[in-house]
Amino acid sequence: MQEEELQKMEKKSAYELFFDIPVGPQHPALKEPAFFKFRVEGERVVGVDVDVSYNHRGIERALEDRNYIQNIYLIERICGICNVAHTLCYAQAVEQLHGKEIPPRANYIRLMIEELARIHSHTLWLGVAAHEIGFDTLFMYVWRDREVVMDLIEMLTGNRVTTAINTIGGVRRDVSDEAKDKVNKGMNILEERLKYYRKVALNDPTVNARCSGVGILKPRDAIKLCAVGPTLRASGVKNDVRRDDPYTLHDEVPFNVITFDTMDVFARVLVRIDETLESVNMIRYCLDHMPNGDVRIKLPLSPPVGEAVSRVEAPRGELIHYARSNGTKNPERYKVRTPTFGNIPSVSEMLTSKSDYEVNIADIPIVLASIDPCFSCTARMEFRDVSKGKTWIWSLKELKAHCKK
Amino acid sequence: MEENEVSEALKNKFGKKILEIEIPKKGEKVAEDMLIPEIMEIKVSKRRVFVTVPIEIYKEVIRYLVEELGFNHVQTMTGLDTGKVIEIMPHLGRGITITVRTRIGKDRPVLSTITDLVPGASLHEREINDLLGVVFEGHPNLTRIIVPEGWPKGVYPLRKDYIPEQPKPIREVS
Amino acid sequence: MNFLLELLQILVFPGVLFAIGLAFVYEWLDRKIYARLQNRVGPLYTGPSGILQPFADFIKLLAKEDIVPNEVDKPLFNALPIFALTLSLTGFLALPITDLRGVISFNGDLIFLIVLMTLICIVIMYSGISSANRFSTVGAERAALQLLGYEIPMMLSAISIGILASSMWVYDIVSIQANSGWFLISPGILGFAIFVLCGQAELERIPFDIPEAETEIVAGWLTEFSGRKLALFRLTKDVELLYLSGLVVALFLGGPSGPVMPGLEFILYPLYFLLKTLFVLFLLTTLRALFARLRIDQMVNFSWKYLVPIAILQVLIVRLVV
Repeated sequence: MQEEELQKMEKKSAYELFFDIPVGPQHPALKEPAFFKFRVEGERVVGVDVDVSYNHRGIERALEDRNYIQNIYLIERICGICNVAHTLCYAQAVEQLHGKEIPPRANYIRLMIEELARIHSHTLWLGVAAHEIGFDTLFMYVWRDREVVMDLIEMLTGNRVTTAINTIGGVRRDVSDEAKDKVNKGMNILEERLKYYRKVALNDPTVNARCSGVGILKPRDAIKLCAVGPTLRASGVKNDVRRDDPYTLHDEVPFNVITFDTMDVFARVLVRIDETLESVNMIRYCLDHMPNGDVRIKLPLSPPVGEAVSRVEAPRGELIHYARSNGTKNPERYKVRTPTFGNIPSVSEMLTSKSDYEVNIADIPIVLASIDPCFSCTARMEFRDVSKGKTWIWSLKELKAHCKK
Repeated sequence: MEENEVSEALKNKFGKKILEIEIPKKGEKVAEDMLIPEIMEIKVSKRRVFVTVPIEIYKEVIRYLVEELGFNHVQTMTGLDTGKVIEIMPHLGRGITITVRTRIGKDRPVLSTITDLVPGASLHEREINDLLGVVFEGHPNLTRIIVPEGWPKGVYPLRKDYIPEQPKPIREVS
Repeated sequence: MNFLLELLQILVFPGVLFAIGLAFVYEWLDRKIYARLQNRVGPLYTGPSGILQPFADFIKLLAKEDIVPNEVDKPLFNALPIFALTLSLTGFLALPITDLRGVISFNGDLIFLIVLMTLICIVIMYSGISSANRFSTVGAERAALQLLGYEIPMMLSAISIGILASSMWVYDIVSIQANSGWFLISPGILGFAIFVLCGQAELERIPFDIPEAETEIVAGWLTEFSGRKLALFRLTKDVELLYLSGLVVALFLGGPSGPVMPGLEFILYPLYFLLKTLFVLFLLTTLRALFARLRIDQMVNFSWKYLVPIAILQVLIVRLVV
């Protein structure tokens, strides 16, 4: 290992034009481990290599060993922030396998919680993006207002982040009338604050300087590389799973699909802020039009033989689950594709300098953050090997031995 | 376009290969024929179409769907080891989801790539390559993406013959 | 006796110990104001209202392990923090605090003080280069680029004050303001603004903390320093903050001068000095809270397109007034 490193360093000391900057697996710009190796020339980035295997947890394989009810909890832990989207998608897939419909009140409650989670995720992202460009004041303000959403979610579901409210056949808890009043009040506060942040984002010159013209993704590339979510919509492509493939009453609750046409990080910021404002309106509609009734139906543990595809618009983009059942209590195969995985080719494209478009090192964190990466969602396959041997870092055993020296 | 239109278009184009068609209504139990190889079939339910094709016309069907019917968004690609064969299923589409299923034998897990039609499918094919050992011919960069470095070659975690290592207790609990 | 008094002045008041103590207080004030602007509390528990927090951080860092990577240039790596601290303390000693002249005072020391700041930046560059780390190299390169951006406007505004006072001696500049009763800030308002902005760049604070950008290059040129060296570097930054505020006050706001009663000068002068530097500190901290971080090319662009012409304009205005 030492020889290889030394040779690399010797080569570099003889005046080399390019050198590689590693971002990850641990880096202040990343909230979760991923490895990006950037080839740079001065401040200009000319190439990028991606490796997302660090959070591999073996969920897809683990899902095959447990029954459908146990799997709800496993699916929820794929990602902390998008847990509502994952459980919603799972519950929909299993209900499709059973071939049953859930009562309308359950659909309204599901929609409300889903949109609350979307507001939560987008405000979290706004704070993180502000921190990436060094704008700590906006970061602190936005996360202070995120507390409003978390308090509402805690009141409705019992937890601030991991809601555990979706289940096969409906939702677990009902919403009382006092809860509805509090949600209304919270929405009023949020709407006012969000409009303020929109104004700040549009008018602040340093935010503009850092975000405009950075991380450009042309619409044709976005479609070719199968980008999803706000990344796609910020390039002007009007695709949203809630409009194209409606689930849980998104065809009844009115909303607009937000797109912007400047194709850069700034557009993504604005898309997310506007989507949050749309969510506020959708929640208000739900509160006004919620019918009475049951919130859950009982379904048997083993669905009939079949397969189902279920899609949900998670805050980060399109989330798709595929379920295949062979009639037993455990699924035969369950596949999860998270939006971040679908956005990785687009981010590699955004981060390479081309003839008329330069990427600087300083743009890397904000461009990476602009796709809203959630690598916990991304790497879910199994790895239970204890010795994680990379080629230039010691394996875990060797590292422990070295630390004991 | 409507699901039925899609299934009609597919039938018209590739009709001579169809042996059986099932159009269950939404919620109906699906026949078990789907598990028998070598039958091309189409299943249609609300905004979902499931098509099974033999390997020979797999690429043509995908090309027809991507270029002529406009399903140019690859949502994901699922790989599945049924014990006898490996099924590869790309899921395409934005409004309607079409799942094109093809079955390949475990002794020769080779399939042609679709990255020349839709470049966004490259990561999904790399994932299936890592987890199931399927080689996609013509893929520009079929390297490791999802299993960690140092993972032994030839071990495919999603195959049915892979038994995961159970962690042993460090101390015996009396 | 005189020698002893001078030694006391250099070491205790207004010398090294006073500088270090005041630097800690200023860091606390900076963090507190920054936090309140962000709807947070800032340091709270150590000492009354958190005033001992920077001191506690310093002691903690001194006690931590000092890791020296194998590949670094060891003599340089070990000596640089001490150089940096020495430079900033030297600069502080030249500021007029208890008297209209500083402890170090000679004709032409305005140039000396500006050059000290450049020297500190060169030390920063060397620390980045001598740590064998990609992030440090990028940080050092950015520090050098930033120096290219802010140095010319800063020097021009300082020199314009020198032209106004017809002297390059800080003692002269301060005496003129003390005797005539008005501060040189009135024809020099443009220079004041530019000097404060460039001071923000020199101190590497947001919006100009590019060489040390936490989210992009881990910690820039500071990455490989730990333990005592990191403690000394952080102390250098605080003393630099104090030094820069003191310099702004001496040049533009009349130093420690103000309405005095003869005999009580040695109390009132430091008091006025403190009040005026607090004002400058408040300006610097508010600037820090208001903006996002700029990119290095944007910063250099901004400096050469806007700051240099305005600085030249300031010099012309001053020539007309004199």
